[in-house]
Amino acid sequence: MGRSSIVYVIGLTLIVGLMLNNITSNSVSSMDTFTTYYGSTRVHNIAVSGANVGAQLLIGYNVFPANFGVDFFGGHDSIIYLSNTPQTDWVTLRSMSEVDQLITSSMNPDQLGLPFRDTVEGVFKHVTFAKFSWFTEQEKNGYLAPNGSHGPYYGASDWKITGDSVFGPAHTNGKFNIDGRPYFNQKVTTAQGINKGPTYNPNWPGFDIAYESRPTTTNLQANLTAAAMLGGGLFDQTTGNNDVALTFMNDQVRVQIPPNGALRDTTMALSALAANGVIVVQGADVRIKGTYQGALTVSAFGGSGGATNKGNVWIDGDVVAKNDPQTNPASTDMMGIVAGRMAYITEDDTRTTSSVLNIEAAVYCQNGELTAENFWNIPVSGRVNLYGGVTQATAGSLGLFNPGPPLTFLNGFSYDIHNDPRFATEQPPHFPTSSSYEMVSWWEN
Amino acid sequence: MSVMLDLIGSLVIAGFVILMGLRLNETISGSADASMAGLNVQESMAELVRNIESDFRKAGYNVPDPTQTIVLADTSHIKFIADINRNGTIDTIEWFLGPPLTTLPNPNIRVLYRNVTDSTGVWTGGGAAGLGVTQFHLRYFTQVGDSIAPLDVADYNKIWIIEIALRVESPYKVQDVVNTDNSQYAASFWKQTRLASRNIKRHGG
Repeated sequence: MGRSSIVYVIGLTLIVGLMLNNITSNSVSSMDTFTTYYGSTRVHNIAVSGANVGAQLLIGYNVFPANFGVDFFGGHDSIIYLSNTPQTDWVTLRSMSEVDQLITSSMNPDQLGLPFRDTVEGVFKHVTFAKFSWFTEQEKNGYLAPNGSHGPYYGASDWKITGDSVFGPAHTNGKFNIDGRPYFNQKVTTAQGINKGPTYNPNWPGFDIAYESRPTTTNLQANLTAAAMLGGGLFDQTTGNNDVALTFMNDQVRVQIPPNGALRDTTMALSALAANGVIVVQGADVRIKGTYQGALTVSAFGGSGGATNKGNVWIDGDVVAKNDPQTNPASTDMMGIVAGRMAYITEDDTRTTSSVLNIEAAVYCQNGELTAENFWNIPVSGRVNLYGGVTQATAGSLGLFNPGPPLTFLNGFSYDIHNDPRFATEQPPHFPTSSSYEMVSWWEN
Repeated sequence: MSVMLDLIGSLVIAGFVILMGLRLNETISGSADASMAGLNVQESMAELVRNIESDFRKAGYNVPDPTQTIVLADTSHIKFIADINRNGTIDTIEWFLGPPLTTLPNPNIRVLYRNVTDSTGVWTGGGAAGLGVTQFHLRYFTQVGDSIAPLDVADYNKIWIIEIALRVESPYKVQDVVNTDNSQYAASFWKQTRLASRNIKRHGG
C-alpha cells in the first residue's frame, strides 16, 4: 500500500508537471506574440515619427534640411533625403528605425527578425500652382489698366459670399474674406486665417493654415526664357514692344506681329514653333485664342521703358483643348498661361447675358490678376468657364453685381472655376512651382 | 475487525485521492486546452492585424487621384486601390468577411478574405487571410471626423479615416479561466480607431 502510494504520487506529479510545463510554454509563446507585435509596432511608430519630423522639416524649410539621426522611444531613427528617380527634382525621404528588444522565448532571435527594423518612405515634390483652382497672395482687388492706372475698385477686399463656389484646392497667402455661405468642396488653406463677415457660415470642410511661396519675377522669367531658348518659342520684342497674337488651330498656330499682322503673319506647326511647348514673349503682350493641341505654356513679360506696363496676356476668345479634358481625363492637351503682369479677358461689347467664354488652362499672374478688361464698365457679358485654375497676386474680378437680394449682375461676367484633376500630378511645361514641397506618396510597411 | 476497518478506511481515502486526481487532471487539461486555444486565437489575431495594417496603410499609394482610392466601403467589406507591390501598376485590394461556417461548433466563425487583383483584373494574390474571425467591422470618417454611411458611393471621395474592429474566436469552447466549471470560446478583440493612409490624405490630390 505504502509503496504503491508513493508510485502513484510520483506518477501524478510527473503528469501535472508536464501539463504545467505545457501551460507555461503557451504563456511564454503568448508573451512572445505580444512582445513581437509590440516591438514591430514600436519600431514602426519610431519610423513614422521620424518620417513626420523629416517631412515637416522639408515642407516648412528655409534651408534644405540635412540628414539626421535621433534616439527616442528606446530606439534609433535615421532620416535621409535622396534625389528621387526618375523625377530628379523630387525628393525621397527615408526614415529607418531600429529597436533592440528582449524576446522571452528560447527561439533563435534571428527568426524573430531582431533587432526590429522598419522603413518609411515619403516622396515629395514642389507645390505646383497649376493644381490650385484659386490662389492669391492677397484677397484684394488689384486691377491695373494697360496704361498703369488703377481700376476704381483697386485695393478693395474680395469677398467669397453666398452663391460663390470653388471646386478644387483654394489658397491665399493673405486672409480669406468670408461672408454668407460660399461653397468650397475641399478644405481651404490660408496663411493668415479668415476674416469673417457678419453672416459668416461657409459650406466647407474647414481650413488649415499654410503658406506657399511664389518665385520671384526674375527667377520666373529666367526659367521660362531659358526653356523657350532651348527648344521653345521666344519672341523677343524688347525693341519696339510689338504685341504678339497667337491663334491656335489644333496643331497649327497663326502668329501675327503686331496683332494686325503688319510685321509678321505666318501659320506654322506648333511643334515647329515650340517643340518643348514653351512660348515666351519678352517686352510685349501676347494675345491668344483658339483650340490648342498638346502641352503648352504661353507667357509674356514686360520690362523697362516702353515695356513697363507690358507682360500682359489678353484672352481674345475661347482657349480650349482639342481633346477636351473635361470629357476625357486622359487628354494630353493642356495649357499654362503665365503673365508677368495681368491676364485680361478682352472687352467685347457684343457679348450678352447668354454668352459663354471657355478657358481650359491654368492661369498664373505674377504681379497682377486674371480680370475682365474694364469689368465695371462693360455690359453684362455672360459667363466665364475656367477649367483649370488661377494663381494671382491679387484677387481679380470679372464683373460687378448688386448682392441684393435679389442678386443682380450689373456689369461683366459671372464665372465658374473648376480645377483640372490632371494638374494634381501633371502640369503644363515649365509652369511655375513653389519652393515649398508637398507629398506625392507615402510608403509604410 | 480492525483489519477490515483499515481496508475500508484506506479504500475510502484512496477513492477521495483518485477523485481529486481525476478532478485535478480534468482541470489542468482544461487549462492547457484553454491556454492553447487562447494562444492560437492571439497568434491568429496578431497575424491578421499585421496584414490589415500593412494593407490599409498603403491605400492610395501611387494613385494619381487619391480621392478615387476607395472603390467600395461597406460595414464588413472594403475595396481600395494602391500600388501594393511598388511595381508601378495600380492593384485593387479587397478585404471582406465570408458567410458563417456551419461545420464548426462555434456558429459565428467566418473566413476573412483578402484578394489582390492587378490593373487588368487578374487575381494576383490573397485568399483566406484568417480563420476564426467572428467580427470584421468597418466605419468610415471624413477629414473632420464626421461619419460616412456605408455604401454611400457619392461620399467615397470624402473618406479619410477608417475604423476597424476585429474579433477572433476559437472554434470550440474551452474552460473558463476564472470559473473552471464554465466553458466559453477563447476570444481576442482588436480595434484600430484611426487608421488613415497618408496617401488618401494628400491635399489637393
